[in-house]
Amino acid sequence: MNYQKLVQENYNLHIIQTDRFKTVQIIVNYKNELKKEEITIRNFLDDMLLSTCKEYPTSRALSIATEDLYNISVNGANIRSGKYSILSFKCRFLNEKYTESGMNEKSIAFFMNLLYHPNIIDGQFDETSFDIIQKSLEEDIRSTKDNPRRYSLLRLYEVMAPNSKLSYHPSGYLEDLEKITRKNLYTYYQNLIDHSIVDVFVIGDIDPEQVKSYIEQYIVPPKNRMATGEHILNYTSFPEKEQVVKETMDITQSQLLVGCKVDELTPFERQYVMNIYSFIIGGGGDSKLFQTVREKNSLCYFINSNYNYLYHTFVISAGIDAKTFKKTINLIKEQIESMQQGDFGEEMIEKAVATFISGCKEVEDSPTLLSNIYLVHEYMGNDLLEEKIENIQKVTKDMIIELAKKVHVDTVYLLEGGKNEKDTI
Amino acid sequence: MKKIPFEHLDLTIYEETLENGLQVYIVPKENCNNARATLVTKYGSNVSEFVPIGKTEMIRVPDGVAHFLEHKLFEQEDGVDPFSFFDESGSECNASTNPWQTNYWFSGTQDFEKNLTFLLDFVQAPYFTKKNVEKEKGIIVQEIEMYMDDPYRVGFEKSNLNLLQVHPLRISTGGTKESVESITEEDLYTCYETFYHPSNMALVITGNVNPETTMELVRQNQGRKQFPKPEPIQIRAYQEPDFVNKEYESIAMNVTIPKIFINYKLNKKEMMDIPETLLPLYISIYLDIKLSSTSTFLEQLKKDKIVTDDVYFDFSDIESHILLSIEGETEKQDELISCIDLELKNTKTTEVDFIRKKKTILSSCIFMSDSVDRLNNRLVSDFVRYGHVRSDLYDEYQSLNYSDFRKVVDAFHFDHRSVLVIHSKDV
Repeated sequence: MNYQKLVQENYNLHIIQTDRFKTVQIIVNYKNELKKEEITIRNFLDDMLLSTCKEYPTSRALSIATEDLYNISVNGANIRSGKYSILSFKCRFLNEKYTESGMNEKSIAFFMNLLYHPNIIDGQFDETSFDIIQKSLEEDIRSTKDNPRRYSLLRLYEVMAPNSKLSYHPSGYLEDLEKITRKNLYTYYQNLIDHSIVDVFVIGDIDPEQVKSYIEQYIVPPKNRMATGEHILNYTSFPEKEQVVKETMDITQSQLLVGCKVDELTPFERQYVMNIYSFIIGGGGDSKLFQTVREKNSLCYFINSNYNYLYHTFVISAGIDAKTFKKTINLIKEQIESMQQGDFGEEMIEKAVATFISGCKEVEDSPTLLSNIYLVHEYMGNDLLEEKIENIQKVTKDMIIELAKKVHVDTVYLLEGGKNEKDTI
Repeated sequence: MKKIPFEHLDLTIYEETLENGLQVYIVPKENCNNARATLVTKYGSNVSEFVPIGKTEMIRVPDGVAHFLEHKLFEQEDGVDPFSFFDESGSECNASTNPWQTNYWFSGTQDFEKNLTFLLDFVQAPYFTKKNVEKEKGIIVQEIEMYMDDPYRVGFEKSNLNLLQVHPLRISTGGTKESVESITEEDLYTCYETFYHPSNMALVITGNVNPETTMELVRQNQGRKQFPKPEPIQIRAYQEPDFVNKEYESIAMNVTIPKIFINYKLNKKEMMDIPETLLPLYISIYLDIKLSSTSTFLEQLKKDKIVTDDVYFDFSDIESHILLSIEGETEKQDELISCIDLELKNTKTTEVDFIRKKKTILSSCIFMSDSVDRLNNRLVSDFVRYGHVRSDLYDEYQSLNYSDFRKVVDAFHFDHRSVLVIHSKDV
């Protein structure tokens, strides 16, 4: 495998050359500061660009074209990354070794066509696709409550950190949607293309020189090179006293979330020590929470934990019967405290390290995961695979105990379902 | 051990049927770190009436027993927790049950042989007690409640219930809270002994492995264990009628936009001369041509504002029938139902569309072969469905042809329909 980062005209081109895959994958990322009022329009643009283009002016024509290109897959996402928002476009196609000569270039040209030659008529996006996407985004926003697990997490963030970037809704807002027109969407698009931090990642069994020339030929580079900064949000302290928030919904299973605030961590702590901490307490079938809450007390089917270093949050979630709320929450808190006491064996650390290393090796089997390593390295300065494997082995039990003391329960949130009698804390 | 090239995919299949009847398939993949092994039994929630091994009388077991059994095999007499064991090498392990199969798998980059031995040993050493069976009930009830809040899961299960009169696909894989409460350790042992006989199972391994030493390890491991002589398993056969159980049902759930499931039951008798392995592909090509984003039909539905998102379609195949399911979200349910009905009954197609869809199937086959996990799943499904693994998958896809496709399409009769509407609780 061979990685190179080329500093091009106002954008970066990252080429990962490897013979591991039968496919070629290209990611084009547009990075800008995360602003609440721009979430909706960025979602809109993401859908708009991938639904038609000048050459294929209807969504049907475009779908047929993707099938003709040996089922090339194209997708996009509006990703929230700490202080930044990344509009990320991705395509994956079979290497021409498995189809026919010339297909690599044709596939790249097709993908870039979508991004840089949209279906613009009289300075605005075309009406048919615009109307369909508008309706679809409206339904997305209105359906926020359809998935109780996702909804409860959204609510947790809102009560935990009101008005912070963490509390923004990923699907956007109706009041912003109303303001989007075919014309101002095009203006936003032009601005995005001209004034963003742009990174292109290519991964596959390809000739770097050739790929470079294809990309240069088809990309429309930004007008200038924008300065980038730290993704991780500044640490803001949270109230000393924990809050308990209960809401109800007409669902069967209740969703319990324990939102913790994590003190500011060093790069080593957030990349390694936290990983092991989270694995031991709520990482999988062998974790303290799974063993205590599920296996010993039969209180849930799923329970796990998740750390987001960009926002300094650590969240434990479980699906429970509302009647067992008090018992479950007490067990969870006991486990959080027991981590501070060092109540876990060396063998758990060894398992966490083995899992981490195995995960690093699995990364090399997947183009998406592998390019993600370089992407996160570029954006957050996180270590690359070799350093990761080396560093994880330096974590000691004392480091984990020290870190455990930096995790503070901030908000307990229960989305209560079922028709069971109420329980009080 | 037979060595068969996996045509057009740069892979080789190593296969052997052991003395106890276990089928073993190994597909090594160069240039990758990960390896995945799945031990699968052709036993899922579709089995509720059968003759237990060594007996003569047909019995009926509580709904959800196959899934319960899957949970309980993780309990070991020596107290070693499989999750904990696989964690030692940083490997992942899990299991799942569906109507047709139960499988147990692990995947990881280290200690493959040790892990493989453990997988075989833990699945082949059941340990059910009154106490550990009781303990599991609370966990499974929470799992069932989780699914009860998932409109797609409820939609799938309700649709099958409304389409079918007698076939056990109408039963929910997890069972009901009541049936789960009634399950005993005797039920588990009876099902285990009948369906977890090696002759009803396969071991499928893909990824970074050495085929010779791996096969030898499996031979040795299985050689040390005692199993009764294999006998054919008698499972009750059902005569499923053509007519549906319920033509229309509307239920309330936590959804904002109503979800409409339009289901059809098609008799397979006129499609019997089509190769069994190709029939599902012809059916999916038809649905794809008619309803996907390449169709003028969907384009029009969106223009007319009947739907905003794509419609989703899928089908299940039982012995006598094909069950089609089309799902769309709309406030205009009557229009959606009649449009879909008309479109499916209008069986006109073009060969150009057919050829393009065939191209995507061939491409997907290569995409699939690039992933250790997807390759593994493909082989497992083959075994469950056809009793063996297809090494000529790509050539089979190549043999798809328009005249057979038309034969299948001309045999469709969309006369037996069942509609399920999941609407908001506020209405």
